[in-house]
Amino acid sequence: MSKEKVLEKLFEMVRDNLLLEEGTVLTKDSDLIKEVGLDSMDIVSLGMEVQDEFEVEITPEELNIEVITLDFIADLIIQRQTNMAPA
Amino acid sequence: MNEKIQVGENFSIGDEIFHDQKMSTAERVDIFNRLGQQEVDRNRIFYHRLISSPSESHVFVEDPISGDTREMIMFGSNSYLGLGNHPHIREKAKKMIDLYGSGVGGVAFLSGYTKLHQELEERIAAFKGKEAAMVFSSGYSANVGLVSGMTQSSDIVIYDEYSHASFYDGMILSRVRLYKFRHNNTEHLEKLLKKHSQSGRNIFVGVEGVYSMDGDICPLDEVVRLCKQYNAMLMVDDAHGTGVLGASGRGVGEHYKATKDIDLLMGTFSKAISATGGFITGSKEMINFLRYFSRSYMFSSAMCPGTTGAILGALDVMENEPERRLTLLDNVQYAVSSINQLSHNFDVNAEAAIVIVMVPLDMDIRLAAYEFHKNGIFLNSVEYPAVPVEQQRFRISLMATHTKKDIDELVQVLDYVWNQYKKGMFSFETVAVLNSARNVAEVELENLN
Repeated sequence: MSKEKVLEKLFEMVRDNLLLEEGTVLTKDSDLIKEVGLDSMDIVSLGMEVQDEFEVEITPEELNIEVITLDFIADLIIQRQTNMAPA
Repeated sequence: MNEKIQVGENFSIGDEIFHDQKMSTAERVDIFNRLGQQEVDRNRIFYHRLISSPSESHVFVEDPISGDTREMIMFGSNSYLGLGNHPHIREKAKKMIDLYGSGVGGVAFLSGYTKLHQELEERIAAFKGKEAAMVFSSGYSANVGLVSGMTQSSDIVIYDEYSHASFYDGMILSRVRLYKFRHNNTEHLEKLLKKHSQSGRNIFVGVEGVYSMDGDICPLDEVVRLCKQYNAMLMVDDAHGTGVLGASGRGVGEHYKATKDIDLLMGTFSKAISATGGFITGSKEMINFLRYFSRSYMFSSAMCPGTTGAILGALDVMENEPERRLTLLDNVQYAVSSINQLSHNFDVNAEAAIVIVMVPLDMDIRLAAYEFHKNGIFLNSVEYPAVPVEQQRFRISLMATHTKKDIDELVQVLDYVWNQYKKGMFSFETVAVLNSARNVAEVELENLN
């Protein structure tokens, strides 16, 4: 799956499932905690949903970093999918 | 500092202050204490006020600035029915200490479960109109035990964004998938239910009877309808509704005639009932299940006999003196209409026993709080980061034992404080929004760092 498609799906997941205040600007580089207003448990839930949606394994620890963005998660998904692809 | 924050009763001071993950514990403690001392030095500290009398509508309180103790009218207590020092309740507590001693010596699961606890469980289950109940030594542990005991990591919890910290902490314990919906917004709840009901996972919905930060009640009828439609299990925290809502004070379930539709109904003994502790009610099977899976129940010592006796006594009074609840409701309406008659364009309302007065953005809420204190009115200020800066407020809690004269005094002081504010008192020193509490706090933190 292309990174564009992965990001498109991630945007949809955040918008549909997580409570964003009206007028919140969400870009691939937005800091999901400081700028978008998610909390650590929102990130854990998002991580679980990513696992279901993209069928990859991502641990909560991998998402517990100082600045978490959709771009970072998209790269992680693509990296996992590439590693899992048959040789 | 976070630009967006979690609002309502679930917030973490630590999340707001300590963003540097590498900061040592000693540094965290030092910064927090220096920040606190700075507030004391500026007459702006209003937590942990020292009270030296029973929990009644009039209390003796130490002035945190001057150190003098004075009588004040209490508008900051959750003891809505005024049962904190009732003679029947005192006697019942003493009697149970005489019969059962001061402590029980263990967890309910092993050596701490007495006939007294069984009696309380039966009484509270009957009061709430549910089949069975279990009792916890705090309301916090009841909510944590409810959520963490019922759910597991493969489940989904959809909860109101203003839910209490104890509900949230329960979800963290069970590592469940959690999604919050906009406060009291059943359209948003339905959107989330519709999406997740396709997942094949167990879905739980969490709401509160009365939200204490806003004083409003949940649209339970609509929430029940949605839970049925999408096959979700409903958990209700009725801490602030118990004793207040419903034709006989049985809470939000009675208010909406929907008790039977609530799968798990939780509450506390620390609000209208004026003791401490919490409970969960539900079917016999659910309660039996929770006795084994609720860790805060299994690993906490059972409630001590004095408290258990006090709660039983309070239930007696609630049944025998129904006029208390009616007086409370009358007091609430009197306070609401008196406040709205002031010339400050207040537009307050109340659906339970809490009246919220919003604070203007440029009012220093802590200095204003001290003015209330100096004028003999004890009320709680709700400030950032518990709520966003633009939503800071005073929380006025009414009691059945307030007299009309007490409420008149409250309204008079409120009028005085707002008049003083209009004359330029309690305003931040510099201009407009930039001087909001958030920015002041940020500058202080930077200076301290």
